Amino acid sequence: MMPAQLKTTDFGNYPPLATQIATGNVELLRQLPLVFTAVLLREVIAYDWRFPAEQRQIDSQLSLLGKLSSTGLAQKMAGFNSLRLNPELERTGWVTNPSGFIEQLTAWLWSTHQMDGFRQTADLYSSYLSEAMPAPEPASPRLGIVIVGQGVDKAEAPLFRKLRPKGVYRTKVKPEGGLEVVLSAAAKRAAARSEVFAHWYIDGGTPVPTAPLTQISYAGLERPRTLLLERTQQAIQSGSIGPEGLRSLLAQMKPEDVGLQGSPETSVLNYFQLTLLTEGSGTQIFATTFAQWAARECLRRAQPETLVVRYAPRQQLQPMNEMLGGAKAGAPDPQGSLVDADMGSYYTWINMTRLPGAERLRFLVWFEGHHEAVVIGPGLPRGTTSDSAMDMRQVLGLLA
Amino acid sequence: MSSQSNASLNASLRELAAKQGWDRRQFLRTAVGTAAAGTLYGFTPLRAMRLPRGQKAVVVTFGGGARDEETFAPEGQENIPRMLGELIPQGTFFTQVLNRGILGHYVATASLATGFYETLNNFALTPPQHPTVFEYFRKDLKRPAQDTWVVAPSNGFNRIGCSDSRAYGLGAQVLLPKQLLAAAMLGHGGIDYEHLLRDNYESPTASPAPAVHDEDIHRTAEILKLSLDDFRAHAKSLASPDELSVYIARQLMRQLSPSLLWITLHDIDIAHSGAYSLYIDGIRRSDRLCAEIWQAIETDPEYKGRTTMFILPDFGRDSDMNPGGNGFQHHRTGDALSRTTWMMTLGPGVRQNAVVDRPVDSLDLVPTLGALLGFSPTLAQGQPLREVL
Repeated sequence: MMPAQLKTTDFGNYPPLATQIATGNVELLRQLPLVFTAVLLREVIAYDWRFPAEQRQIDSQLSLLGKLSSTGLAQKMAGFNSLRLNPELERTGWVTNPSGFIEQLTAWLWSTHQMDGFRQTADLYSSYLSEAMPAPEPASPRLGIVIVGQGVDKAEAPLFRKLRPKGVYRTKVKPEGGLEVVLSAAAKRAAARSEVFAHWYIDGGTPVPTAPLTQISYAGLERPRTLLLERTQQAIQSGSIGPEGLRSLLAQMKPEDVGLQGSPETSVLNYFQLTLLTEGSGTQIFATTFAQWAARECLRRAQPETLVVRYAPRQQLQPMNEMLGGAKAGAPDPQGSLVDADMGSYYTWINMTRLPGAERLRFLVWFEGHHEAVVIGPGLPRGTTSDSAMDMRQVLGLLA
Repeated sequence: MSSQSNASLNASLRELAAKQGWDRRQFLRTAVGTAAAGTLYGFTPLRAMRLPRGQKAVVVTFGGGARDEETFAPEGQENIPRMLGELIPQGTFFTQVLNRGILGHYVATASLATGFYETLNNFALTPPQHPTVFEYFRKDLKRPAQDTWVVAPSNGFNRIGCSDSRAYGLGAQVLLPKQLLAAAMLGHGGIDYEHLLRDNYESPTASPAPAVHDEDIHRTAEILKLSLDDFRAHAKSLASPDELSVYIARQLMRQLSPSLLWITLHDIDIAHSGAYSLYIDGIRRSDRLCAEIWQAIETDPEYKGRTTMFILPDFGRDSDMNPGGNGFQHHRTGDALSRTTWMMTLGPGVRQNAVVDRPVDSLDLVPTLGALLGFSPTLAQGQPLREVL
């Protein structure tokens, strides 16, 4: 089937809001190339569980494309139209399972050396969207705080080497009560501006309960992680499923399949947590990877105004000799985790600078329980070091 | 995609790759200091002419590339002290090696071995579609089976030694050290083999394990002149699968002295787990293991003075700045960083302290091996690298 043959009844298995969006735009969808339609439907089919920022983007994009003339639309779609497709792809159930279609499309594009061309087309289209429908600025300047090094007495290598050139490297932060001050400041921002999913706290270990922040944690997802790994293991051991099949299986899972149940109000967050585990690589086994990936996805999708990420030690990767010697697995690796978190904090900063309002971004990374931090924000000198003593309240004051 | 936009894409890829190569040259300059820059960038033709051509070749690939930030850039140089301090001064370094194929480790390594961008399923037990370097080598030079071997990290590489080409069909024997270890450890319970034998880091599922029979284990042990007890005992002293691979490769060198030996290292690809420190550990280990392989060549009379070694990652990893990726973790974006890498060549007849900036293709490896060893890889698409011939 091709998009031109789409009927409103084809969206019968979509969730309620997604059905409304798809059927309301079926005329537009019929004019689009297959590849683009499938990519768009992958977003639409999950509309009910998207964050407000994502829903706004989908709505705006459909509205923008709907207003284009036939010629204008054809121009924007020319790159997607020129991709050579396999007839088998057209026969897949791309309306009901756009993710499965995209799995197959990806393999096809790689094998036919069209991936670079696709990427260039997608980049061009993305630039067009950014220009035509710029994302709204945040109501207040974004604040990102990353806390690293839990459980480490002394860092074995210099910290924050990538972030120091961006702001002030402070060497005498008074650590007492620092975590509480940070979380309290984030909670205060959330209380002052109550838009949903705008203020987050992600913990790589066991979190400190902090209402009214949207909160997720590695420890809080222990049961879903265990269930997911068991399910993955079963699929692998069945011998009947390869990597693509496994990815499709994971993509079709629902939160309740891994024990993430709750009221309808929690479904958006539950779906988000599920995708962290099913789409993230390493998020199921390493707490540091979980924290980094969760922060990335939270920023990309929810575009929050406030984000606090606190890293905790991940389990050690057991060396082969220890494994052969029968040593028990699962011991923590605080030093390795600090290195992971240091890099993760840099990635969080990069991801925050990709969001609208980057010139007003405030950012802090702090070595938990210690004196080192980097503070980045408008008006703060870059690439400088300050040895003057400050408590955490004063440090946050620099970012006010 | 129109030919015009393809051309512009290729041009921008070339431009980025050129910048990458230029950066590597600058990074090398910082690593060795200006005093040494003259020797680093100057050819040494007299030495090159005096020495005989290599009659053996050892190829070391990294299945899981490492980026400049963690290797040749100033902040990364602490991770590769052996390459910078010992290997680069002895060899020719290519700063821009472009991979235009599929960025999956098995398919990319198969492409390196055939000189043709293969399009096979990266995760299937499938032979390459085009003749491998091992088949050209054996057919043209009439070499026996035991003269060429592959030591590979995962089940998926089991078929890399020989294509399904009817015109050839006699290729390399492939050793999968982790499978050997698993078989050797059977009955020695209490060990998390599932974790140890994790097949690859690109996918949560493993390629199906090829059947390893008792007789295969004993035959391999006999070839390697290893008792299973010794093998087990030695394995318990090694920290990673790559160390096991190098141990097996060295046994092969001692016992059979193959003329064409291909070793694929894989520890770096732990990067897919997202743990940066483990990725760095993998780079440091690979740096050490490459130096140890070269040391083994230089101290073995069968190899010393007659062996050319090639070291190259199969491709790179994603840039921190590409929003489509997640930095070092994967190689999915197809951006210039993930497609551009480097190659190091050492051995008799290879110029020392030389840096080559012109862009070369990863497919050039097989024709270069052909020119060095004297066989004709007729279906390979690359060109022999004149700088090492």
